[in-house]
Amino acid sequence: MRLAPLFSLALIASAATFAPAFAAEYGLTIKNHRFQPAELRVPANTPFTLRVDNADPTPEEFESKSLRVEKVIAGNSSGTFQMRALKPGRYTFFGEFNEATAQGALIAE
Amino acid sequence: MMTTFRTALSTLALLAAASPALAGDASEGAPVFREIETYNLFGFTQGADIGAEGEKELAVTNEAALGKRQGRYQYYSSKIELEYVPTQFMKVAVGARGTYHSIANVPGVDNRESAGFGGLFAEVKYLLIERAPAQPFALSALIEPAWSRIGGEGGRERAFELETKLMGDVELVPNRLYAAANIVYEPEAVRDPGARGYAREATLGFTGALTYRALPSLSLGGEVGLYRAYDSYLFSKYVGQALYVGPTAHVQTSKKTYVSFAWGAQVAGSAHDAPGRLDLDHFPRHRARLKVGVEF
Repeated sequence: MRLAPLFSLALIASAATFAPAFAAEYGLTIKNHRFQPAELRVPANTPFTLRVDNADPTPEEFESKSLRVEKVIAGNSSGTFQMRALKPGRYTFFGEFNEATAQGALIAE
Repeated sequence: MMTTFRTALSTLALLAAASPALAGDASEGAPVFREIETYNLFGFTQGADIGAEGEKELAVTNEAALGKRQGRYQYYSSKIELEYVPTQFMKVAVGARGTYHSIANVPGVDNRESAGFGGLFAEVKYLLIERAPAQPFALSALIEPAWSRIGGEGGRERAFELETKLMGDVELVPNRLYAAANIVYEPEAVRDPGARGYAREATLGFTGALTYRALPSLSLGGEVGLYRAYDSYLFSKYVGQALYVGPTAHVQTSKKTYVSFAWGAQVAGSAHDAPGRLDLDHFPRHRARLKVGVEF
């Protein structure tokens, strides 16, 4: 079974979804297992880069069903996400390792 | 069959009750219903969600097709697949399938008690319309090319099929009530041993499902599916159709694991060249599906 053409098509299609390299960057910080700020405003309908700095010594998994991203960020390090253009609205996210306190939202407007 | 069904539902209820996610919510007062992915909520019907970028999942899907017009017919298939979400709009998967047949005294079918390696498949699912805070509807398209070496009646064959599916779902009540619909078109080229060429077949399906999250980790629902069989790639040689109705259940057993179950009974149908109010020549009397997945 020749799967190479199929995966080539998949890669070409996925390339179209990447945000441009010059997209504006917006940042969040995890400290004491909480997001700062808890609500972050970003422009709607524009791709952007989301940077999450984990200032805690322990790892955290940044996750959002509605944003469709998840990534483990090691302690005292950062993770970046190339975000698609979001429709206006509130997109919740959380830290999976400390879900009771690590809650937040992106407000696309 | 009903005993098996009741056993499966009881097991799922126990899993839900034992789920750490549920226990955590209940201990803090009112249950909290957070966002959930719809992909596995609806049984045989698929939700439109694809997962989160970077997510990897290992899933095992066991399906059973039980009962023909006469005799004993039991066909079990088990698919193991590795899924990956490379972007926020696409999911890909590859996997293999094993089969087990237990057939006796079914007219026109060899008696058989056998297990074997069934074939390989790949899958690409693309999110066409994404859900958003003010837009509860999502739509995805899927193609799944597959190679098969064992047919539904247990004999050796060489088959290539291309399942294509359009999947839409809508969040009727945020984080609680969901509805979904699928359109399935599955052309297949099949060559039996000794045959000179490939026979052309196709299945066209329309399914709908409704699911309610009774608990944060337990979703219950029902689905209906109409399937039509053809001895042609397009729709010129109709040979039969079947209508299935049955319940579905989904248990989020932990943050990274889930179990989903569905069962369907053929309640109406007709075969082109056989009497009766069911089509038991091209479709089984009962079908069941149990999927277990773990994200990592």
